[in-house]
Amino acid sequence: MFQTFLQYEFLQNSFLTGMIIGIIAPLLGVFIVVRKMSLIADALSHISLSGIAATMLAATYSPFFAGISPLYGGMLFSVIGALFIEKLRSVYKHFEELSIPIIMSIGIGLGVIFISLADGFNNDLFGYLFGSVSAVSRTDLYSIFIIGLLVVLIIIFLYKELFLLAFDEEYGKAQGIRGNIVHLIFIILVALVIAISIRIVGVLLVSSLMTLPVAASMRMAKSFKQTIIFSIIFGEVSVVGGLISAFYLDLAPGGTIVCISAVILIITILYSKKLKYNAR
Amino acid sequence: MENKAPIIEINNLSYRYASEDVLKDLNLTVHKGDFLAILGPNGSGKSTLIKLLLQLLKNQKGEIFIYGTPIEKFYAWEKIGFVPQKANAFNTGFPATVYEVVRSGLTKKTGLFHFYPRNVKEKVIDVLRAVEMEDLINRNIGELSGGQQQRVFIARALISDPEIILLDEPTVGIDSKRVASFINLLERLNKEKNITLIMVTHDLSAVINQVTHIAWLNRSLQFHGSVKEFKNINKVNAQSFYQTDLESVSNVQVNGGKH
Ligand SMILES: Nc1ncnc2c1ncn2[C@@H]1O[C@H](COP(=O)(O)OP(=O)(O)OP(=O)(O)O)[C@@H](O)[C@H]1O
Ligand SMILES: [Mg+2]
Repeated sequence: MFQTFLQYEFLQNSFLTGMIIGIIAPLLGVFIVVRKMSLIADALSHISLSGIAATMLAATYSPFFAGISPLYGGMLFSVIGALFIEKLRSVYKHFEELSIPIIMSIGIGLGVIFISLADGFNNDLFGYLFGSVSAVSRTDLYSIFIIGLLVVLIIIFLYKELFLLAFDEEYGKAQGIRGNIVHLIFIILVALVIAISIRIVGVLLVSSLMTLPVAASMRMAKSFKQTIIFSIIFGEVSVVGGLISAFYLDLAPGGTIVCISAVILIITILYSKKLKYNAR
Repeated sequence: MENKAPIIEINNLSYRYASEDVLKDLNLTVHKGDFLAILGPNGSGKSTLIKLLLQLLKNQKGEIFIYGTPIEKFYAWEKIGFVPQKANAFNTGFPATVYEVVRSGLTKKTGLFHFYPRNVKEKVIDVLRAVEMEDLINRNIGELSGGQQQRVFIARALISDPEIILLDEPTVGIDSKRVASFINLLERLNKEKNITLIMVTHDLSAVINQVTHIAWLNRSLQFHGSVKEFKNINKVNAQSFYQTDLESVSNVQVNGGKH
């Protein structure tokens, strides 16, 4: 079964990309969820979409842009959006969550304008909205691999600081830790991971890959470390399972990935209830 | 008593959030080994002072020196522990164990891009033992009672071997029996490890036998001195202080001034 699946290069690319984002999306997702910023992924994915649409639009005018993968346009917009969110969070100190709908609506607004300006790419667009198993090129895969490695290394080396700031930001600052810089690095990573995940999972579902495995994991985990480990396992199972079934059943991969994570979530909720009941 | 080294010196410190001074021309010196209680009515600037001492707020007017260094140039924050007011400290659903929380107190001391030291587990156990919480090391922090959480936060402050610990109303919401043992713990840290303690509290009667000094704040400093001096001024100039606190103070036997 795997033989046919891995015969095609485009499937290999998608599969390996999926395995990478199955690790890094839930890894970042843990910190996003405990900091109560779950919606940030939605805002950034919509901003990424406008970057993707802008690149595709530019490509219809200039051959220079035709040579550039829309992935990079998405990354650029996503990072800029992330910087805006951080800025808005400091402007609206007591309404931090306000930054998210602001960026999200700007993202949708720009995206819709770019899409309506050039209606030649509707087919491609479907893939960006819902994910696609055939959309990743070999060069995309290399960029995604490098970003994945970067994310894992930075999280490992900033783990102490990220944990402390997530758990008790004031204490971190009282210890002289530069919270703003750590947040900035973190949110840029989130922006990059969202932009690269869109290819496979789609704009509309990318945030679920960062939150559903974490939600399931928190039902089971006894420590922060376990929360991370379970999140990655659940994320990986969802992505790999989702891609394989999407290919064989000819479904949109984003949907199958999310449905598998939802099933895992439901199982963990039922299972943790049973554990608590037995413990009594 | 005043020949001990000054650890914290505050000169002419004023601070305002809006147009009105919340702290006004504050002068205060804290010496090594002091156990200082800061008292004052709500809104008198006590938390503001603590935040300035931690540089969570930046000075606007006046100076603070820590170990003789202007606070803006002070970087050894691992020497200063902090026990926050419980209510706003963290979200109780946070999936972390007591171990992970206490260990995070080593973040600054360990240094950026470095990993926790090899013996970190023993260190965590040591400080948890000091607060009598070592049995709960693997428990989820959100499952503990308020008093137990407060002990965990003390342990987190202790793990970096601080020389000063700042506490902002640490006993709010803790039952009186627990408060007594908590204060005894602070006294032990103060006496045995010579840790300088600065504690904001509304309950002078609970600490009058343990603290060495008292500062009475109401935007400006109304009184600062040893417990013995406080007892004297207290009788003479009772009107300038809180009626309720005075009553509780006069009910307490002070067993000699501590220096
Ligand atoms: N972030 C802020 N912005 C504006 N004003 C503030 C802020 N924080 C505190 N204040 C004001 O500063 C004054 C002093 O506040 P502070 O929190 O230092 O008082 P406190 O002595 O700790 O009081 P409490 O006993 O109630 O804890 C109060 O009048 C308060 O309204
Ligand atoms: Mg206060």
